[in-house]
Amino acid sequence: MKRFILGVLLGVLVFAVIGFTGCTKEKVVKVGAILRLSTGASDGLPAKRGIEIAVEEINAAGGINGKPLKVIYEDSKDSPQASVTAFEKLISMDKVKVVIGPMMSGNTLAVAPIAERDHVVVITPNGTSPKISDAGKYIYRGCTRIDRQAEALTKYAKERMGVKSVAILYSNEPYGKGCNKLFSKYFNDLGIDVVADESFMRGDRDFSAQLTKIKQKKFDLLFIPGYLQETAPAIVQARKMGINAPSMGVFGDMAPKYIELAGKAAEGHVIAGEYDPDYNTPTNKRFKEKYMDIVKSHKNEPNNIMFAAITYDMTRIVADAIKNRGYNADAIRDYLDGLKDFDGVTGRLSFDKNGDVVKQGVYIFKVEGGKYVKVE
Amino acid sequence: MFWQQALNGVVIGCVYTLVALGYTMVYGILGIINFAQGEIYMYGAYGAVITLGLTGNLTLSVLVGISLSCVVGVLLERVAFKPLRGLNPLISLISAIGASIFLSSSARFIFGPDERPFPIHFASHMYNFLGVDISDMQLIIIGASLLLITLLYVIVNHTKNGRAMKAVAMDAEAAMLMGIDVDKTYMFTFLIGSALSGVAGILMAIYYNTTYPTMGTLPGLKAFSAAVLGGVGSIPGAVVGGLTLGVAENLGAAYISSGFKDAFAFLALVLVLVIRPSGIMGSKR
Repeated sequence: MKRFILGVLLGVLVFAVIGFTGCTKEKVVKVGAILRLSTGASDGLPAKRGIEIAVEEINAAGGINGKPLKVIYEDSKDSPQASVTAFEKLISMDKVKVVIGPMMSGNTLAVAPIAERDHVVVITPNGTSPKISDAGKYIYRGCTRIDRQAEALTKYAKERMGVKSVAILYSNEPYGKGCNKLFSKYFNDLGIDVVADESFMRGDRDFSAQLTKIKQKKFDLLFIPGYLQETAPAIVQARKMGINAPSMGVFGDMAPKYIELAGKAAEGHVIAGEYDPDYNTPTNKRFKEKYMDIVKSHKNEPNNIMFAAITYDMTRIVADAIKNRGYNADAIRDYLDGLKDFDGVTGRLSFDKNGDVVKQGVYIFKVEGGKYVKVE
Repeated sequence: MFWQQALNGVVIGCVYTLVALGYTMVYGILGIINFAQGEIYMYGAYGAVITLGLTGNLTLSVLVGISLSCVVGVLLERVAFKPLRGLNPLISLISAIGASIFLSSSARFIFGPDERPFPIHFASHMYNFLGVDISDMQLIIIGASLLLITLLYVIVNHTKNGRAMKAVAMDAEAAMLMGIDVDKTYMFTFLIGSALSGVAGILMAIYYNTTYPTMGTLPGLKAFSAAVLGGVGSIPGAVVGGLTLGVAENLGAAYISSGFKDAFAFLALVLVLVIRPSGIMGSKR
């Protein structure tokens, strides 16, 4: 009896394998996506929505040369190991030649050597580390490098806010630490004193030890680089403790969630962002409307239009590349390198020689009356 | 600054204490470590936040939050621990870890992965005692913790159920022979431990103004350390352990480096275990 069951199982397995490999001669164009769908889903799910909106539009317009576009989503769980596993799966089982993602710099750098080896194009939607520029010729990115954000923000602090000294409270992981180092350098170059730099861990919700220390110093800007899950409660506690200096953050804070969590403490918060919801083009109006519809009908889902906007643009660019040059990594690279002024919702897009996206520049936003308002 | 930091440590230490009490009671009586204690804390917070969002009634939502914690705790005992009773304690430990992962994943599924703010804002006032600032929310946390610890002391020492708990902790078989319903006592233990964790979860949801599916992980781990630090199985030990841990991590962050705040909590644990393996208040078995 046991042997019989084993035989049946084996048979099923064989058929499954045959059935599966039989599918590779499909009539769809497959593209991979590695997003943070469980841990870190607050930006991963919006990024997925961005891709979905683009796919729906592309397929409604007849797909890519008659074949529908199909995106295969994998979860990177906020970990380089999971990203590499997902990437290996996409290139060996699904045979994709282009992957949108992984999210975050660390994960992107982890898959970069494999992408170079196997010739697969990788486009990260939110890896901001300068290291990605040199990660290889198959590695592209759809967001602005962190040093461009640093340049814009520190300049704004100096010229428009008249800041002379700054206290930094950063997230103690590669992103926050990188920001601390980089921004400190830019602040120093502009003659702004960094009077305190304290850090916190991801997952912390109690910042009273750090803030009590910071409060001893005199400064006229509180800079908190990190992720909104920590930066929002941090600013709330700072305000409760009577720290009244204006606050500044990085683009992770650009979400309605930040304002919802921080409430009144968010007022006056200055950040650099990638996407301007009021960008006045027909494409953007259409995209914004569709995204807002999704947000309305999915109440429990994280809402972050900026990440959706970036992946929306990248998906459309990828589809265009395949349509014009065929499904081949080198052909797609060639298309991306030659791209000029693509009509994206995050601006008119091109890629520079390092594979970094080029757009009009970084926007500066400020929270006013519970909303992000573009100030520059 | 020293006293200010010490006070910050006491406030967070109170929360560790409430959760640690759950760990220590379950260990003392059932001899197992319930690693899902942090998830019970999280469900308490969600119960309160969602009810408050729907009804706007604070008292009701606190009660619903605590009840949800109790329900989750008791179900946990029935589903994850009872069938494994009498087997190697390691099996219960693995079951507890599994339950913890299941509970936080199901919370992500039910409530969504996002952070939720507390639906109402508490106007916060600062009071100054001898140069130390204390907010009313901090006073509430300390007050509520003191009240609950006293209440627990009274329940354990002066009620029939409490005495049954002590008897079962000493020797479950002998207690059964004396006519104590051991099953009911186990359930009661989980009920009280879960209620305390639920209160801690709700207090933190208000204090930090956020609720999210993994909010119980780190406090759970710290509270477990606090229970071990104080001597697992001992109720005064959980109180001493919780406060020590809270103060140690805040002073470490203040005077050495804030980047290693969590490390100081665990360093304190290691030091105590090296010097006194049974914990500060633990009995030598």
